[in-house]
Amino acid sequence: MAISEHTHLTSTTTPQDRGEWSYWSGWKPLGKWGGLLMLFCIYFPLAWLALMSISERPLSGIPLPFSLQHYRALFADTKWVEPFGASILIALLVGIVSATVATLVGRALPRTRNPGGLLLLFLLPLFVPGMSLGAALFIFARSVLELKLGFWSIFIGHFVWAFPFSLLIILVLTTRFDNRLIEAASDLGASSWRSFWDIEFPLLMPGIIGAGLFGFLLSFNEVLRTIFLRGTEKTMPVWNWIMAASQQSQVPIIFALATIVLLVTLPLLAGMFWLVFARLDKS
Amino acid sequence: MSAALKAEAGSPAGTTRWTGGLAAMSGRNWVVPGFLVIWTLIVIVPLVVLFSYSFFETKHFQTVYDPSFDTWISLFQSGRFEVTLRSLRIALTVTAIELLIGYPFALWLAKGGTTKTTKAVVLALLTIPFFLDLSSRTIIWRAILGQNGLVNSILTGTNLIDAPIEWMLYTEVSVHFGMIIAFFPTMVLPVYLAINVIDEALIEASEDLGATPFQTLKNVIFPLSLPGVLAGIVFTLGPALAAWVEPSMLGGGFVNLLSNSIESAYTALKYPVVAALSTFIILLLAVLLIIMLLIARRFGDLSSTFRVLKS
Amino acid sequence: MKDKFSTTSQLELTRRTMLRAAGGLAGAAALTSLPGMSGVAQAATATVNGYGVTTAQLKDWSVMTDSIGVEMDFAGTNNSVGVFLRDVVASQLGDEVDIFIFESGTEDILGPQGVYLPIDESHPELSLWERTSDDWKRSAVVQDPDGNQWGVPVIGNADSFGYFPDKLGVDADSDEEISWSVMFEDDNTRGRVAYDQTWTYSLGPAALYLQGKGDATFGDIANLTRDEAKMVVDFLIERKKAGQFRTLHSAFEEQVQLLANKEVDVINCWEPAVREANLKLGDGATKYAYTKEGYFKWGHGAYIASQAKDRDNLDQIYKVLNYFLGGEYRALQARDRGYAGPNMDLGVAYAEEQGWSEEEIAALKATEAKVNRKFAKPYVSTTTPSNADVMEEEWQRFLNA
Repeated sequence: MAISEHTHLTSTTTPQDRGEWSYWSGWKPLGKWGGLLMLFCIYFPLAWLALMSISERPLSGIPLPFSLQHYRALFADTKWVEPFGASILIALLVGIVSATVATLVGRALPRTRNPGGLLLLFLLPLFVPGMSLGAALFIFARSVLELKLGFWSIFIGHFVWAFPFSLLIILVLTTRFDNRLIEAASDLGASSWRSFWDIEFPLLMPGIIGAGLFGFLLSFNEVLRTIFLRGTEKTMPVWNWIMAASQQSQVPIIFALATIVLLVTLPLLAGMFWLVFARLDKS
Repeated sequence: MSAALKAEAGSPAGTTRWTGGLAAMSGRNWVVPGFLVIWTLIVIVPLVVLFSYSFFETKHFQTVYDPSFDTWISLFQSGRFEVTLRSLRIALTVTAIELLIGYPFALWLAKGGTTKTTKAVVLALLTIPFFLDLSSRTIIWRAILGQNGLVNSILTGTNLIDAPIEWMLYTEVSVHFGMIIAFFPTMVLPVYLAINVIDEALIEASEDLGATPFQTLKNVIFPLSLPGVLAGIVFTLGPALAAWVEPSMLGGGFVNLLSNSIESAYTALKYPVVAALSTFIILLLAVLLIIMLLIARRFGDLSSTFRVLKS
Repeated sequence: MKDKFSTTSQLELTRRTMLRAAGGLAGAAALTSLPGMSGVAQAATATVNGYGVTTAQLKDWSVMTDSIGVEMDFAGTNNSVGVFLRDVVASQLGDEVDIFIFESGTEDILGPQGVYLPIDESHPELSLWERTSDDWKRSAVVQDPDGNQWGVPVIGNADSFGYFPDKLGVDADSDEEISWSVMFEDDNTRGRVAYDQTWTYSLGPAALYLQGKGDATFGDIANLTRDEAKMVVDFLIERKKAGQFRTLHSAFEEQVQLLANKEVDVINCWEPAVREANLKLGDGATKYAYTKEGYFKWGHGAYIASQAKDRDNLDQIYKVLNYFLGGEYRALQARDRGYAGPNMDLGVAYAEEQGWSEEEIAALKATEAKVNRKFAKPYVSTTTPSNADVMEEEWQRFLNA
């Protein structure tokens, strides 16, 4: 769909022999294995963590002897359930709201008078370190407005963090969107709602899912802003953070919990992405 | 895609026709201004308030609301501003390395003839780390990279080295290492999204016209993927600047970065210092971005990016 | 100098804010009160809500419930005083929490501001107060400089450093005093030392060492002036550049890991870290030092939230405070963490009553003897020195060097 004026440059090709090195068959494996090595580095500690979660002394660095005691402790001690539920709920809310708002703004933004300037404004939180924005929102809400902090302020902090990501993902699609489709539809007498629902929405769908997913994920693991904005509430990462600093170590439990999350999310996400591809192929 | 349409998108005429068609449905006339008001309230105003705090001081856990430049002066006298420069340097290095490893990988994933299943699995593998607590993932590396850790045990056990390698942990190297691993997905995902939507026909056309693979990459794929590359840089640079877990867990206290310094200031409730540090790094970033934009404009790449975005 | 943003007036504004929040922010309020989502349960008659450092926790609070019939809902906090002050004042934790437990210092600021309720020494439920020694109940941990009683002592210890006796060439069975020089200047330990990353914990011991060496004298080691802090930091920077420190640690897990993996030989950790490491390495593999120069002496106090005076569970709150002075809590804390506290004799009596083994009882008595011996030396720490701002700033110089 998208063509830049760069494409015509390909016709002004320099003699082939000058670029022979670029035919080297090793480039592709190099790119592939470089990335796979990174994936290995991401997952090696996770596998180690899973192994340690069934070890008796997880911090010692030696997995033996094995024991399921941390899993028993995890299910016996229900203190983590509340923060875990709170995290899921806030993350869902952030995902849904940022996907919706990003879709609305993302469709309207390219047609405003100064999209570049507005875009920079909306992307601003990406350039403000987490603790700084947390402190800024905290000072503003507490010292200036004198509001009591709680889930609402965590939500705002997370939304401000997630929105730029969601917006960018939506913009990648809306800016490539062919307006002629909509115009054709309205020429054919379709109502604007119908043309949105039948034409634009399906085309934007991958972006909307991506925006929501990013919102959910960013919120679920957020800690830098949350510690300023939580008031008396606790999310999962904050609970982990407090526990890691305490003497009554919950780290083995955290390992066990992380392993369960890993085992649940891996097939779920793989399935979701596979569905997305299957769907994209059909349309 | 027609040049006429391209021109139209930016022109007032195009704007009118577009908005005229859909204004009734989504009311998009007020969407952006309305959201702008909310955004100002939850982002811009707090940042301005934070900035104004940098002109106050903290004495004995109480903020003294007596405007002065004292906090700014002490920031430079104590050398505390160095943490911003260090953070920026490390964040930029990490971002550059990510791009170097991430771009070829994204290219392979999107256009390397990978199957649907491979794509789904790799994308899932790239997404899952977001779900898992960063500190418990990072803490593991200490047991692997330490003096008596896994790597050193293997190396000394096989007599490859005589004494354990010390620079693998509690140095800037280990902080870089931890950050590169943590931010790899944030670079690959947007780049992949951008490359994936490039039309195969364009690449084939370029090859038919006798372009070498490098020329196709340079003249077709890379320009078209620039939005994704920029998004990847931004997605990586921002969080890398705010890195907190990696420097405190792998840096051994010797790599004092912005978030660590802010956390320390917090032990004495020094909001003004937090404010001044934050302001300083945002200004540095702004300067950096302007330089990047100017350089990009010189080569004409960026304007074409926006045109790509718009077409 | 203070205006409406200061912590004092913030608290006075609490009620007004709450009213406004209730009205103007009904939506937000509804969100925070979603069923099952509230972090701290509402104060019920039989439950007391606690908030504070996790060190003060019992491994299982149900033991206390069995003894005094009061349930404890305890929420842990991180060890940073900044986080604690912010949580208590800015987040108005007192609306939900009855008892705060934190290291000494906060009462000097929050007591006079009216955040803590003065202790009613004649409260009928506080039956053990009379017999508690003045060393504990009149200490700076629970009183402000003017002598107002803001808290009840909970636990305390004298912190030094953990070490491997064989690496230092010290007889593993003796309790001889070791100089802090192994931490800072010993050639044998160079590059094998871990030092805590926070100024509140690490600036004092270095000053203590310099004073012991006769290189300097300090007005108050817990509250260094700018020039004093500068001198200490200059010394530490010199040692850092000489490669003395292998790492600067920042969390309890890390302390355990560094010892258990033998990554360092000396570390100024908490005493329980040594116990944890010995669980893996075997008894006596690491020891917690008696030192020549002195210790980082600290104590936890329990303070009542001022909002609790209008609640109907004040009797239960005092029951819990009294429990902290009693034998069961004493014995369990000493056994599980090696921490001492007021009325150690009651702890021993409790252990004998419960039929603890000879060894465990001997260990309890040893804990008391240990703490008495260590407390004879300087210095008493505080989390809120009045020079905190300059001390923190100088410490950044050390971290950046």
